[in-house]
Amino acid sequence: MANKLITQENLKALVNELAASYDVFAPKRENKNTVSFGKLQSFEEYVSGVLLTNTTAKDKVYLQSEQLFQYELKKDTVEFKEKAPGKEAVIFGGRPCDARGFDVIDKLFNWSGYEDGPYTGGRKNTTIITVSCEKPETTCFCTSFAGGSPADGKGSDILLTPVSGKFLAELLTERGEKLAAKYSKYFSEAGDAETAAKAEFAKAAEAKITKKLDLAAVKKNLDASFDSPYWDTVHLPCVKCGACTYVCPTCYCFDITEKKFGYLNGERNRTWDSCMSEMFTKMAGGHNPRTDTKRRFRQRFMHKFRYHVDNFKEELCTGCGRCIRRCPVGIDIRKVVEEAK
Amino acid sequence: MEKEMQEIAKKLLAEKKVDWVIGYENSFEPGASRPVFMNKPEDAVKLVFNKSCVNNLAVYLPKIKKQKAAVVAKGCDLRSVREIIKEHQILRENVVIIGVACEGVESSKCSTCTENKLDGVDFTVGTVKDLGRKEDMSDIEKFEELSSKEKEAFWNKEFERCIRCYACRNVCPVCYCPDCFANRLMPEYLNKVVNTAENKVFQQIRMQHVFGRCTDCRACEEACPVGIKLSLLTKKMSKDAKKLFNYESGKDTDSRPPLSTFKVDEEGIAEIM
Repeated sequence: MANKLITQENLKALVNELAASYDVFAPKRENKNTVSFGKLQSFEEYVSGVLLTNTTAKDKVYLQSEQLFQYELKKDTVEFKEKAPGKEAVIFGGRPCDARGFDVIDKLFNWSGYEDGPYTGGRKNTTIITVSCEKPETTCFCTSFAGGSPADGKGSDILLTPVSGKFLAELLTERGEKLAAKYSKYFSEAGDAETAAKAEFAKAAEAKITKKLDLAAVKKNLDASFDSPYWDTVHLPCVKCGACTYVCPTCYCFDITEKKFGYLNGERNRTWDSCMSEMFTKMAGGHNPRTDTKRRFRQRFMHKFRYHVDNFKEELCTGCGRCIRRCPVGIDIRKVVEEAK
Repeated sequence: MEKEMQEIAKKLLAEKKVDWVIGYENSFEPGASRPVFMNKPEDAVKLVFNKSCVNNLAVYLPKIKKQKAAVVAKGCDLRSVREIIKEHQILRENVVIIGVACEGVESSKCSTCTENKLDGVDFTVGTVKDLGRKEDMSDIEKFEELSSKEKEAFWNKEFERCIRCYACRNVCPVCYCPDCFANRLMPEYLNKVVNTAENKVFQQIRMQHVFGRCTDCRACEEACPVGIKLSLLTKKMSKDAKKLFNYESGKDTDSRPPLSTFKVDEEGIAEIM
């Protein structure tokens, strides 16, 4: 697909114009230590220098809590009310690992011909404009994954990469092209020089990521280690909160609950759930097959690097490193899966 | 200081005085550390202590109940250890306390720390100095002056961000209930739906449950992945417990937490009826 160029000033004008007609979510400062994807009123609020926002952009498409429908019992019938589709949205300023997360869970929510309505609805409504990373963090390991790179466009509609004082804008999907066409006054044509400069940029950024997992070896070790005593001790520092799963761009598990308003009406909701939680596997009647904290801890790593690979031929991880940074006790996913035996 | 700590840990494990030593090890980048459990004497060299050792390791003690553990504790963590012993979550004889003469870590509480004394520990690492720091309640007093509307607006903004990961609860040394109200379905105290209102209900109930037991250690605030200012609540609670009941959590191992007992006439509380 086509490559365009956009200057700093034009990008600012574009985002401001987008903010007027769409919900634009971008890294926004909440307080001294917190930058999350928030609704942008103007470009001034956008925090460009932060690589890892505290939470991912996942919740802008796959809401943490989503109303599936409302119901009301009438005399002879039940009346259902579905939520109206949300406003068109733009996720701006996320990073390639965030965007790849969408690519990973897209497959899950469209598995074996079943299309998950709320998710795919949000996905079709959202244009993702990603910015390549120049200086990766020590927790980054995106290059471990097939095609993973700080300048990779998978999952994005438009990928912006800084080249020679401007941004190279790669229009990667129809949605991206449509948006660029609608706001074509801000874009100019890119030449071969800029495309070459992008390749250089990608190479330099990739070289800065020093940690690379040998995923074949990880898979082999996890395949053999389900009953290993390794899990008996490695989980001990983990406090079993759900921070790692809720800040993850690929964790997708959910629970469905009811909320009653009265005797005759209520709503059904879908809310993210976490395999770290005791309630996650608790059955009606009280039985819990994943009886202890060790089993819950093991599940997270097994799912990401073993089961999901068996089912989808790719890892349920994009190497953003958020779980490492946001873990209250510094559990390092790279170390845990690398040392599993 | 680290060497001293490592020697103590090595000896305890070699002589089988404890099953576990719980301390800090280096983490994913220079200057970062994380909690570590070790049960082999040769692992003791991994122990470190530096400004990044923020975690309150007392949180692990209720979980190792039947085993013996040595725990590295800063002055502030020590208060939590005492509180857990007081609440019978672990027997004093099952825990070896390695007190660290801490001069402050990267935490909001350290600039006003008056808790670096290490009374009642089994080992002291380093030399305890008078840091000359003073308690400062000015931030709480300032917040108290806000109107209810302003307070509500502030907390709505904070709890709008909450993702209900329960990190605050799970790192809390006194939040050890095996069956938390937040997990209960019958009756359902808290709906699973994550929104500002439910998020506030969760934290309000949690704060009521830890009143008079919370030592304002700030573990919850440090752990929060979205930076909610929980210290405003914990500090206010410690202020109120002092004012209403003349009680300071974690000062000793035998006084009764204020809400687990009552006097017919509470001096600090006015009669309403």
